[in-house]
Amino acid sequence: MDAKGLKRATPALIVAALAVFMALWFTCGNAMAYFTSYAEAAGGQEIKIEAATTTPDEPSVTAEKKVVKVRHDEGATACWVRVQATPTENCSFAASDKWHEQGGWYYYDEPLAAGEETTELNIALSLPEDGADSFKVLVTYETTIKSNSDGTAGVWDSQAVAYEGVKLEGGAQ
Amino acid sequence: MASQQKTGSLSKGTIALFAIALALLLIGGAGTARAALVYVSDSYTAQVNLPDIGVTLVENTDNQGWHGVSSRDYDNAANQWSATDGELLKGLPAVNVLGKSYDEQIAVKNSGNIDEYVRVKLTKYWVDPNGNKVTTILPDSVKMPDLIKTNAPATGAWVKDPKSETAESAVYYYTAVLSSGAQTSDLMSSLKIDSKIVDYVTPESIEAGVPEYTFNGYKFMLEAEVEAVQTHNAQKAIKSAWGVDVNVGSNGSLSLA
Repeated sequence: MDAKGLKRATPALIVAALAVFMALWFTCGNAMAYFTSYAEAAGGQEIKIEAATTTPDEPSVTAEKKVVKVRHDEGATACWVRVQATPTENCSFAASDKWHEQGGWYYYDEPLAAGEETTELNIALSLPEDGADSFKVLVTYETTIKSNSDGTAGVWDSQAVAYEGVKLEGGAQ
Repeated sequence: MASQQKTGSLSKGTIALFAIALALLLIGGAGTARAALVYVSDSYTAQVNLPDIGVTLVENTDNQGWHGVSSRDYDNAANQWSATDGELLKGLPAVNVLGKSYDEQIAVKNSGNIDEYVRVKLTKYWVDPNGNKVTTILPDSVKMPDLIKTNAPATGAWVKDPKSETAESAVYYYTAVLSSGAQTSDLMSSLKIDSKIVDYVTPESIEAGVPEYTFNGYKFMLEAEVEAVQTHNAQKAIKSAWGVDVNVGSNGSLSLA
């Protein structure tokens, strides 16, 4: 096409280009007709598990009772505590409201965070009439950092408690 | 004669171009006209008058109160988007009771001016101390994301798409229309770390008698991606925006096709 021909065709080309532009505009308009939006966020927390390290408070022992408390010394992971005293026939428990008995064990109802301690668990001793001096009561406590499915109590399987289990042996005085 | 030749030249080139232009205009025009027929409805009027769509991810951690975490709202008057990006689980207390459910409510709020449908993709995963996603530190039988438990109220307000579910993520659809300014029911209400993770200790630490737990230093992560789409012409809009087929009931209820 020579220059003259191009000049003649220019108006037509402009109109055609305009038509193409308008057609694309309308088509894109249809495709973009839906209103949408989005939002996103993420977050998390580092896990730090440490075996529970607990210390039984020195039992307050008299001729008629022991007072037991357990303190969680360190570690970021809260632990559950249970206590057993044997022989059970010579013991009766006067537990505070945060302890409950099940199957011969007394369970503390709340997990202990680091630095916390249980309320007192009072164990009353029924001394035998004979041989009171040789009478002994064995207090065992265990801790676990493993909760059950609803998170309200400890799981006392062998692995969970393998790392704790202290026996306090004391005789009635 | 010269004039005849000029006219003849125009009729060949120009007519052809006009024919193409006319065809394109007809195609575009027909599409627009068809769209106009579809859009002529009561909700079309609402769409024109209130075209600002917006959505906000909201959470209530440890019962500290609801707050927006991230949002993206369109401002039609200013012809621009306003967005906020926040961090999830920021107010969560230290998760130091394994197996305990911590209060973590997540929902979606319509922060726009038009009704919308929403869906949320929840993703759970672990990252190592360097921030890299990890999936293989446990035996193959254990799916690590499963150790991060999210609990949702069984209200039926949210339905999970089984086709999109993977080991670490799932997509949940809110089955009702979310009106402007309204908030969905809870997508999740609590979060806990399965105390099974205590079972995983390093072999060396077992021999030493002092347990060193495999997950120490690792971080559990929860990710939520919210998407919203207009309610008008919902089936086509959702198919176009989300790529899924849905059914919309006469009351606006949404179900997966």
